[in-house]
Amino acid sequence: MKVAGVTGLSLLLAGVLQAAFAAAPAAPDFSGTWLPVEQLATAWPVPLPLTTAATQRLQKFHPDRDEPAGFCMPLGTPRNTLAGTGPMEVLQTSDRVYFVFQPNLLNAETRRIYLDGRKRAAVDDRIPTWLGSSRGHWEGQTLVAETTDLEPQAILNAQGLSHGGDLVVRERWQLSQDARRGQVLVNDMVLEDPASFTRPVSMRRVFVRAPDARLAEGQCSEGLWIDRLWRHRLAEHAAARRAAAGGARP
Amino acid sequence: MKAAFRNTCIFLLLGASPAAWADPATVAREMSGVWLPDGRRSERPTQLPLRPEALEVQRKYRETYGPVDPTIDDANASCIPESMPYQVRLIAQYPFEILFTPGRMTQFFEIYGSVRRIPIAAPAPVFETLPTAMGTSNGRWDGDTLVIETTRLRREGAGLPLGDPPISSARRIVERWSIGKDDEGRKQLRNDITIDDPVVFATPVSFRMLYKWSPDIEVGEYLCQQDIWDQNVQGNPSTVPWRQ
Repeated sequence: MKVAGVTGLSLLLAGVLQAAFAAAPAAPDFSGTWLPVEQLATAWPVPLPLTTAATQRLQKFHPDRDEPAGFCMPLGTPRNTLAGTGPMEVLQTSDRVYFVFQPNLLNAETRRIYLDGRKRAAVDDRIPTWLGSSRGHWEGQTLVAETTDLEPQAILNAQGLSHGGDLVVRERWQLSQDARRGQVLVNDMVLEDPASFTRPVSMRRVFVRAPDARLAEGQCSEGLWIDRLWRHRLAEHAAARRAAAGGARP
Repeated sequence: MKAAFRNTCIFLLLGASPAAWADPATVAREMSGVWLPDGRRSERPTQLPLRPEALEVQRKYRETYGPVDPTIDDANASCIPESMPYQVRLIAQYPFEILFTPGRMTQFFEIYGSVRRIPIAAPAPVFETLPTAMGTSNGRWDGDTLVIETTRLRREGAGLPLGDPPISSARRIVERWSIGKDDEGRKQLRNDITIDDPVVFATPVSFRMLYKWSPDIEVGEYLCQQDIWDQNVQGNPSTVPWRQ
């Protein structure tokens, strides 16, 4: 009888647990490879609500000198998500969602959105990074993410729009249906940075499922390396030839 | 009722016994997270059984391009990552993260920010691309061990100029990843690596890499070109001579 009692209690407990889990709707599955849909994206606002300091920084921007990607540096967040130039891979578990980008000729940029409630580092211990520090949670079927601690050396677009160290990127990711394209992943993003923007800037990016798209391994540094290496080698060979021909020219 | 009680006991016993480790889901859970190389306990291959043809390639390379100047010829220092198994045989303290999602293991390496995608029990789709540093990997569970085979590795990289053996297009790496404990009772990730490259090695080369469970570490950003960017932004001289 004791056994029957224990079994009955276990079944009751199992039923309560099952009901509790059933009450919380399962999180949607964003997993897979996605491609940005340019036609469904919204543009930067015109005119841009820039502060005076941000306007001056933008005017000074020179792509040859100030474009980090030209030096094989990351696009950084949120540019990797906004750029819309290549596939995005989503890896999802119950306590995290990773967005992986491998922009053309750059190495991987993995945005880690932690859902496990982990604390942010103490203010004094925060180090700005190109990908930032992200925390998120599910609001129904929407992934709500907040990213901070972003490196101000990164820029926001190819035109050189900059941001300050206090930029906060708020995102709401959700699945939706597009009549022509089927299931799409929609990201409504708001950028808050009082040092750069006079009001928050909102934008939408939309991604379509692309199971055949592949994130390629980039070798951005190869061009820099080969260029330098062979320039050096050619100079060396030329010097050797001159030496063999009877000494260096005046 | 007796039968139910007996089954419950058997279930509890089995659940608590080492037999539970054979369950791939349990092993995957134990492998998930951030790891650091255990340089003290890991093995290093010593004498490589190089074929005469491979030695000839090395000799010819040195004759053509030598003498080697590490400030110029070390592609690694110039941010060109070597091919696998470089990323898993490093003993330098760069962490990597393992993430399991349905049908896949993904390895995120801090070094060079490389990502390695390993489909499990479903062959990786074949794409018409050049070989890569990570190669093409496929995994399968053998009891409590994840066996990963990797091919299609790019042959360029830092190795050859600095005296490492060449890589042939026939190179095949077999890794056997498992979970254990080190001699101090701490959780340990084990990787028994075999490099089979019949064009280069007379016999396959095997060694064991061990990694330390490092839950307090996050895989950081690896900004290899930071110093040329800094030069550009701040005007600081580079520590790499040819970049100055």
